[in-house]
Amino acid sequence: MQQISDYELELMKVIWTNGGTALYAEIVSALSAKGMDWTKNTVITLLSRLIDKGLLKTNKIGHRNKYTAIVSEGEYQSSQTETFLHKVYEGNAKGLVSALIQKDLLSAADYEDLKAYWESRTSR
Amino acid sequence: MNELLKIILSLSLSGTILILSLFLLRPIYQSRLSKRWQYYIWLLVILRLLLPFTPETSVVGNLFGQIEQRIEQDTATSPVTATVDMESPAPLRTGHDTTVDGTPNTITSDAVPDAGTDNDAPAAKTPPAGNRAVQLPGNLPSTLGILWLVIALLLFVRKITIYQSFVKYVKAGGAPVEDMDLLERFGRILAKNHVHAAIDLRANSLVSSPLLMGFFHACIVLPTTELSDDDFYYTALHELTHYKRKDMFYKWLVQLTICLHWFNPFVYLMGREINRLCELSCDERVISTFTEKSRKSYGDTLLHAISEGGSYKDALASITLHESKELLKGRLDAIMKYQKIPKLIQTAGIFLTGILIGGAVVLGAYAAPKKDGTDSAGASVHNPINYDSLPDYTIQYEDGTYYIMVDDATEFDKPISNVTEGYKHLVLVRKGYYATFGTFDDHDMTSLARHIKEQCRTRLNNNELTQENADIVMHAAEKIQAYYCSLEESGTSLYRYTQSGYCQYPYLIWIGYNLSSDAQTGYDSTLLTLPDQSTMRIWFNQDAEAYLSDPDALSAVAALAGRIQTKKADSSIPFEAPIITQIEYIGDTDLNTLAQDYYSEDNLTYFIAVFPELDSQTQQDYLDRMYEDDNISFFAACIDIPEDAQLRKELTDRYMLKAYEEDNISFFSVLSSIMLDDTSRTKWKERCRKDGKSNFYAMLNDYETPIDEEFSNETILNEDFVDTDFTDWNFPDKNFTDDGFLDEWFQNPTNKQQDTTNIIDLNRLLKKEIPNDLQTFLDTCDNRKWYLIDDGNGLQYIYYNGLPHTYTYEPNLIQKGEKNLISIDIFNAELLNSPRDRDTDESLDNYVLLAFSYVSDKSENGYSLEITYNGYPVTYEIVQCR
Repeated sequence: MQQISDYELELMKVIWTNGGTALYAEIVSALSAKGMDWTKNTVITLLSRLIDKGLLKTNKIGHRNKYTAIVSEGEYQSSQTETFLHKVYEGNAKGLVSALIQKDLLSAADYEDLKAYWESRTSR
Repeated sequence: MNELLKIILSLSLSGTILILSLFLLRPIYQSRLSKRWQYYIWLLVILRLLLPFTPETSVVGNLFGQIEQRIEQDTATSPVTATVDMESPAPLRTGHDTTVDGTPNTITSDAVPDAGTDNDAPAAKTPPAGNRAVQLPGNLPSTLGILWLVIALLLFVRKITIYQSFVKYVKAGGAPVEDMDLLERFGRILAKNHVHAAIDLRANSLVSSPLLMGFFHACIVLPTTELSDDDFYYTALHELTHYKRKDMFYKWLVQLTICLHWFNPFVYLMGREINRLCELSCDERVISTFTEKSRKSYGDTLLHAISEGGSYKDALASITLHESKELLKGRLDAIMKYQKIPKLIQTAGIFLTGILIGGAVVLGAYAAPKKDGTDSAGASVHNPINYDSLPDYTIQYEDGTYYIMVDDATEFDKPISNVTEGYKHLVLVRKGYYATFGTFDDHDMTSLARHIKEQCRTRLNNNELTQENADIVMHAAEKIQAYYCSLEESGTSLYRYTQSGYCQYPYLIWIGYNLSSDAQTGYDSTLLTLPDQSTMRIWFNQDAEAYLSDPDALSAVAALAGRIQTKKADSSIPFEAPIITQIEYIGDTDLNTLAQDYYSEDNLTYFIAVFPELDSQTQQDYLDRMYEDDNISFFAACIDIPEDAQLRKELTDRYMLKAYEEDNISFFSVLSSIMLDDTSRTKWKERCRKDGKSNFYAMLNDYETPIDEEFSNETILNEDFVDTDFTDWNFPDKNFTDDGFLDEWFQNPTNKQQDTTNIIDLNRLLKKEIPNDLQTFLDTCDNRKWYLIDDGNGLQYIYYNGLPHTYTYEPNLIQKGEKNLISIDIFNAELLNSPRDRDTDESLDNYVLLAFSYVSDKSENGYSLEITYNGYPVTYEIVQCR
């Protein structure tokens, strides 16, 4: 998956939040609610870059473009995590988890949850 | 010469003249007129170079016409000399006799020059190739034409691929600008300049300067994102201006022109000049709202751009901020010197534009081969022909064909020619060359000279005919028309020459009558005493002259002549000047047996001689049999033979009804043309109309006018066949709808004096009479669509792709307010099987083509045209042929 810029990610989040599809007007109002009043050219340019990168597709509804996410938020997150893992921990997931625990980013409850999840996966 | 090559060369020449004049005028306008004007005025040159539009008379068109004519004259004479040269070696002569013997002897005339043996053999091979021989030297130009096209295509494709790989390269090597600040600034500039499309912003350190790429998804590529606010602002503004002016389309148009005119060095100069002006005028536009200070900053931006650039350069068609230092200097100068153009100078600019447009139009192009343009060509037609300078010729008439045999021509130069019965055409025969004119129906023959003049004019304009040949044909046409008209008046019409076979025991005798006085001299004759003691001179042709010494045969001939004379006594076609063409001894063989044999042998000539002698019941049996056998030629020949008029009428009615009910239009048309009187025709028409049988109806209409001498007073009204949907269709004025109106108009001496005005002329064309370039054009026409094709020479063609060949038409001319209304009613007349092209055996159906020219008496008023087909209004597409 191609890397996307922070601004492009903002757009993706808006679309994901909107249920995976959004019209231009919906995107603009959502952005504006977040305090990001971008110009039209910026928004459309970023959207078309996302299309080029294969994260979005567009259909015409009448004269309006409807943007649909091809990649779900979950898919994006796991793909990004993988990239991150390889880049920073050289694929060593244990290192990542211990870093998370060290920094208290993973609470005891989270840990129990994950443990239960892990056991359910392995016993299957 | 290859038409395409001529067009492109003439366009190139026209364009070059314009390019040179713009360069020469540059010192005058350069610093006075706006850069924008200087930029867009080249569009005029581009259009001149690309569009083969041309006025009737144009400088370049004339020039090419003259060159072409010279070439044609050269080539037209050369094949003749070539054949003469070829035959001089003695060994070739061995082949001569066989060739001469093998040629069918159809000569009926006194006109064969005694050129006889020497020249004939090679010539005999030339006629079929006659027209082609003239075109042979055209091989070289057509090869050149292909070469030109191939190179142009290759160049253009190469340009496109270079551009594509450049775009790919630039995109791959750079990255989209992700600096939100810059993007937002750019977005605001766009919004402020009312650019609504989204334009991407990329950075690529390898490009030599900021540039604009792409046509629809445009993208500005910057060498760097580290730009000062000002620099970025001006750069963006500059590129946006290019974008808004659609300069990339202009650039590609220039590239296309350069590719098409790759052989012309001046177009490359033009390309450079347009590039330069593109930047200058873009700058001009950008700074037009600036203060002097901003202008200086803008200049700074241009300078900065140079130092930051990478090494990629696209000399082609993306839009860069600058292209060379030279150009940059000029641009900086222009920026600093910028001043608003005063009104007066603006007006001068408009004036100059007008002059240049006029120049571009007048320069024209080679569009239609023309000698002196239509007007002067027309004038040369009206000029009296200098007959003394024309070569001698003789006119021969055979089966609907008038051969105009120029003295250098021999029998062998004559093409095998045939024409649908009832139609005539003219064939000009020269040594190794022939040209066909026509076809004309009987009705056309009375205004033959005019039709021929019209056809000659077209062909002269298309350089398909030399002036001398045109003069000969026009001269001959006058004679033929005069001759034809005199025959019409005296009643011994040439076309009334009638021939039939008869049985006069113990002979079958074929006799023709109303032999023309010209032809009489060619045959032996004898004076015979008829049974009523009167005497009559009877001619015998070559096949029959042996019987001149046979008293038995002569008495049989005399008896037959007497019999026919009695029969024809009160007929409108008198029995005069008979000629015996064939005599066959049959002894006392039973006629029924003979009839049986001839019918099964499909020998119509003999059968028709025997048929009248059969008893009435046998005749009817045979007619039934012919109808069942679909033997239309026998049927047509025999149906009016039974002597009893009452019986004939009964038979006709019976068979017509049968044919009508069985939808057998070919038998129906034969019957109606031979037998129908006016009353029953009207009845039949009424019935067809009720039953909605439009093809039968149209066929009945077809016979309405031309057959009778006087024009039928019963107007063929379209209302007869109009669907209720078309009731508001504007029908022509009754008074003008009869076919004779135009001819009457022409015969009126007061009209004749001004015969260049208000002429409407329609020619029905055979496929081979269509000019080549029109033919190419027609091939691209859609099926089942009507076209009005303007060939740019004042001739228009009405064309329909998808209609049977056989049709008739009526032109009507109506004064409708200020304008003249021409309405042309075309009737489908599907009579027989569709005719086939003699050379290719290609079916000639699926097209209607009328050549049509009209000269209004008030030129400014023009005319409007309405076409109906079988009574229904036709919507047509107007197209320009070239």
